[in-house]
Amino acid sequence: MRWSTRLLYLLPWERRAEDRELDEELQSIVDLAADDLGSQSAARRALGNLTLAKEDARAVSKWAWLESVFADIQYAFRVLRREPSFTAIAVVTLGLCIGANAAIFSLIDAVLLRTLPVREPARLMQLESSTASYFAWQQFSARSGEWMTGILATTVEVRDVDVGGGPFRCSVDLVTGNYFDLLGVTAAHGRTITPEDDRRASPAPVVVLSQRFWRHYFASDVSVLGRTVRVQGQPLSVIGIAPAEFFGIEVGQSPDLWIPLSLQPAVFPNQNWLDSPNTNFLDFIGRLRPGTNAQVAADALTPVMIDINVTRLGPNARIASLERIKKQRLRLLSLERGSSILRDRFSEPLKLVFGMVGVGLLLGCLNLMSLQLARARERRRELSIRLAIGAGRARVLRQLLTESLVLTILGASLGLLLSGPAANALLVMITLRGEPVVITAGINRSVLGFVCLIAVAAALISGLLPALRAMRGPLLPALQARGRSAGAGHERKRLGRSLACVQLGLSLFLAAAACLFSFSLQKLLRYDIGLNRSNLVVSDMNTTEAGYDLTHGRFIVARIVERLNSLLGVKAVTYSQNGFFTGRNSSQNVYVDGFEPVQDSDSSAWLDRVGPHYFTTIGATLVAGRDVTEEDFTGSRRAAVVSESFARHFFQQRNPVGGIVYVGEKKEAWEVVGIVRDMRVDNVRATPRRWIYLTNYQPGDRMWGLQFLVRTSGAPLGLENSLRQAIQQVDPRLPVRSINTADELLNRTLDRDRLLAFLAGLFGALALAIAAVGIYGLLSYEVTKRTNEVGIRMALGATRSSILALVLREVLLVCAVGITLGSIAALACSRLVEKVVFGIEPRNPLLLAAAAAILVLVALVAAWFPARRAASVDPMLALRHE
Amino acid sequence: MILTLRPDSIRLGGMKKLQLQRTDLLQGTLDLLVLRTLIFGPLHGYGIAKAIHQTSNEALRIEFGSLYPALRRLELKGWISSKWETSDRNRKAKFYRLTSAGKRQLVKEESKWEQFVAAMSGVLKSDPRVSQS
Repeated sequence: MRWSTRLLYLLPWERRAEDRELDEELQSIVDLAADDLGSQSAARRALGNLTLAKEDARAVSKWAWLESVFADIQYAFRVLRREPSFTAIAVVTLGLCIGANAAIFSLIDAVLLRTLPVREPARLMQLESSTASYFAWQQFSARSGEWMTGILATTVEVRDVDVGGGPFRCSVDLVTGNYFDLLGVTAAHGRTITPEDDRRASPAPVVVLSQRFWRHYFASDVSVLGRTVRVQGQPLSVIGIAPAEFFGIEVGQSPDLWIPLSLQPAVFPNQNWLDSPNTNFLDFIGRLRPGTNAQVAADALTPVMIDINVTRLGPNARIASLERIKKQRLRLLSLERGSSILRDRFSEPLKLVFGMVGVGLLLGCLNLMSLQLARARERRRELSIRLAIGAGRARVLRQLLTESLVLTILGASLGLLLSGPAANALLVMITLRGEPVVITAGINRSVLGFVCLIAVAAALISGLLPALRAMRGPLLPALQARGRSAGAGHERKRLGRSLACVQLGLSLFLAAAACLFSFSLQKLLRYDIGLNRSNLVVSDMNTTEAGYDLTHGRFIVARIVERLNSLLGVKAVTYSQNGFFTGRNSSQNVYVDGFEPVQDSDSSAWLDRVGPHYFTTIGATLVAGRDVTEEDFTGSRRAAVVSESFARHFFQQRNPVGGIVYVGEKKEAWEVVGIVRDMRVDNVRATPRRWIYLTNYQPGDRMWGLQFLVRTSGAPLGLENSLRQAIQQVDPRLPVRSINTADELLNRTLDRDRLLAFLAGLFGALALAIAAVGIYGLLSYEVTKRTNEVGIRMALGATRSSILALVLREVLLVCAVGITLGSIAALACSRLVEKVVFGIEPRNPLLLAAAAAILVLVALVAAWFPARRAASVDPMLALRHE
Repeated sequence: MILTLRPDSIRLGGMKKLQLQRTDLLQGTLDLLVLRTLIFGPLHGYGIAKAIHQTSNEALRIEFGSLYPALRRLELKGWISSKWETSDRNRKAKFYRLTSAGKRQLVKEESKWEQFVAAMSGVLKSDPRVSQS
C-alpha cells in the first residue's frame, strides 16, 4: 500500500474529510437499499452493522498503531503540561545528562572514531620507518610500486606567514607532489599541488590554502587565486583552496597552508633538509595496492629501509651498528582514522570521562525514576479508572512509557542544543604542541544515533519500573481511596530507600573520581621539577630569523641581557636554547673515558645550551661544582654542567667535576664544571633524562634560537609588555614569539590532567546535587507520611532531638549502604585510572574517606530541612490530622 | 442455501495440506468476486452486493460489513477506482470501476482460484483406498 496515502491519513483534516466521505457514501447506500426494500429501517436491517463497516473500512487505510501512538503522544503532552514543574525538572535533568553524554561522545567520535575524509582511508598506511629523510622517501617511492600505489611525504612546520599585513605564525605543511592525488583530495577552488609543482630542480612557488585560513584572512574570496602569500618572506602564488572537511592527516591539527616539499631550501634559507640523508623530518604515508595487505607490504619494504640505513652509515660503519640495522623491521600503521598524538594522549581520559558521564546519566535517570514513582502514586486513581473501564494493562503501560519517552526526547533535544557549545568549551581546554586543537566536534549522524539510543535507554530506565508499579495491585482500594495512596506503603518505602542508596553509591563513585583527579592534578602542579618556577618568565624569540651572524648575535644577546637586567622588577636574566616545556629538544652522542656503551642508545644524552648564571637564575640546585659564569664565555673555553642522571650514567662512581665529556661525532672536549640536580623540564611524569648543558659558542656554530629566562622580584604580572619593549629597543627586527611564565608553560603540559580534574569535579558536584535532591525528596515524602507517627511519639514524650535523631539515623543508614556500594564500584574501577593519575594510588582509602565525608555532609544538609520539619510537628495538630 | 462470507469469521482447516500458501484465501475470494462483478461495468457498493447475490443464484450473500472494507482495500491497492455519479434512479452514489491494474489482478486471481478448485476437487474425488496405500 502506498506510504504517502497512509501518511496523509495521519493528518487530522485529512482524517475528518475521509470520515465525512465515508458517512456520505454509507448514507447513499442506505438510500439505495431503501429504494429497493421500501423503508430506511428495513434497509439498515438488511445492511447490518454500518458503524462497524465504517470502522473496518477506516482501518484499511490507516496504520492503526501509528494513530494510537499519535494519540498517546498528544495525551502525554497534555499530562506533562498539567505538571509544569515536574516536566521542567525532568527535562533539565535529562537535558544536562544527555547533553554531557552527547558532548563527550562527539569528542570521542571526532578523536577516536571518525575516519579521515579522504578516498578509501582504510588503504592508507603510515610507514613507521627508522629513517625519514628525503633520500629515504625517494628510495621508498622508487622501490615500493609493487605494493603501494604511491608513497607521500609530509612535514608540518610553524613559520611566519604574511598575507600583506605583517607576519604571523602559521602551520605550513610541506608535501610531496603526489600528496593530494594519493589521498584523493580535490581542491574546493582552483587546483591542488601536483608532482609538476614539486620538481626538485625548479619547484613552482605555489601554495594551497586551507578553508579556515582562506575564510579567516581572505573572507572566502574566490579571487584570491593567483595572489601572493609570503612564507618566511618568500612570495608564493595561491593556486587553490582545500575542501572544508580536509585537515591533513593528523587529527586535531590543521595546517593553514600546503606548499611543495621541494620549496623547503628556498623558503627556509640556510637550511637544506632535502639533501642531507641524516635529517629525519618527514612522515611517510603509502596507499596499499588492492590485493595486498599491511603485513606483506611491511615485509617487502623492510629491506628498502635497511638498505637506506646502510647507505647512510657509509663504508666505515661499525659491524655492531650494521648488525643492529639489519634487525630492524618496518612497521605499517593504519591511517584510516588519521595519525594523532591527540588520540594517544586523550583516548584514555576521554574514555574515563565517557564512563563518568555515563554514570551521571544513570544517576539522572534514577532521579527521574524516583520522581516518576512519586507521580505514579498520585496517578494511581486515574490509572485505576482507566483499567476499570476496560483499558488493557499493556495499553496503559504503553501510554505511560510514551510519556517517559516524550520526556526523554524533550531532554535529548535540549541536550543536543547544549552539546555543541559544551564540546567546544572542552576543546578550548586542550592544546596540541602548545597550539589550540582544531577539530569539528559537531552533531553528525553518529552523534545523533547515539543520542537516540541513550534517550530510549533513559526512557526505559526511568519509566518502566514506575509504570509497572503504578498498575500493580488490586483496583478497588485505589478507587476507594479517593486519590490518596493506600496500602503497600512499606514496600514503597523500601523501594524509595534502595533507590536513594543506589543514587548515593553512584554519587560517591563520581565524588571519589573527582577527589582522585583533582588530587593528582594538585600533585602535578606542586611537583618539584628541580627548579624554582615562581616569578620566572620565559620569553621565546628566534635570533636566527633576524639574520645575525655569530659575532653580531653574541653582541645582541649580551645587549638584551643587559637591557632586561636594567628593568624594574627584574632580578636576574639568563637564556637557554630550549627553555622549558617547549617540546623542543636535541640529543647527541657523548663519550666519556672509562665508559663503555653496551648499546648505541647508551651513548645518547640530551643537550641544551645555556647562558651565564643559568642555574642560579632558574633556581636549580647544584649538587657539586659551580654555576657557569661570564668567564666561561670568553675565548674558546668549553665549560659544561651535567645532570645527576648524566653523572651517574657516564661517570658512575667517579667524580665528574673536572672530568671531560666528548660531545658529538666531532668529539669536542667539554670540561664538567658542575653537577645539577635532575630537572623535569619537558614532562613532569617522565623519568629524568641525562642532560648536558653546554655554554660557550664554538667557531663554526650557528646562532641558536633563544629563550630568555627572567627572574622577577615580584609577581611577573604586567611585565610582559616592558619585556617586549625592551627587546624591541635593542633591535626592532627581533621576533618575540611569546612571553609566558614558567607556571603557565608547565600548566600547558597538564591540559589532559586539568581536563580530567575539571570534568570529574563538575560531574562530582552535579552528582552530589542530584543525590541531595534525592535525599530531600525521599525524606520529605516520608516525613509527611509519618506525621501521624511523629505526633503519637511526641505525645508519648519523645523530645524534638529524639525525633531529629530518628530521621537523621535513617539518612545515615542510607548513606552507609550507598557508600559501601559506591566504594565497591570505585575500587573495582581503580585499575582503569592507574596510568592516568600521578602521585597517588587510586585505591588509597583516604580518597574514599574524603569522598564519603563530603557525601555524608551533603546528605545531612539535604536531610536537615525535612528533619526539622518533622521535629517541629505539633502533636495536637498531627493527631487531629486524620 | 445461503452462504455468508465474512472473512474473519470462517477458518479453513487443512489449507496447508493443499499447499495453498494464502492464509487470506477467503478475503481473496471476496476480492475476486468484487473484481469479477465490476468487469461488466461500474457499480456502487450496494449494486455490487446485489449483483453478487444475483449472479450466484442467490447462493452467496455478501455481508455489507465485509464488502465495504474490501472496496476500500481494493481502491487503495489501485485495482478499482471510485467516483461520485448519479444512479439510474437519480440518486448520488459512489461508483466503482475496474482499473487496468485491477483487470490484470482479476486474471491472476481467477487462475489461482481455478488451481484451488482443481486441488479441492482432486482431494474430494480421490479414492480413499488409494490414498491410504
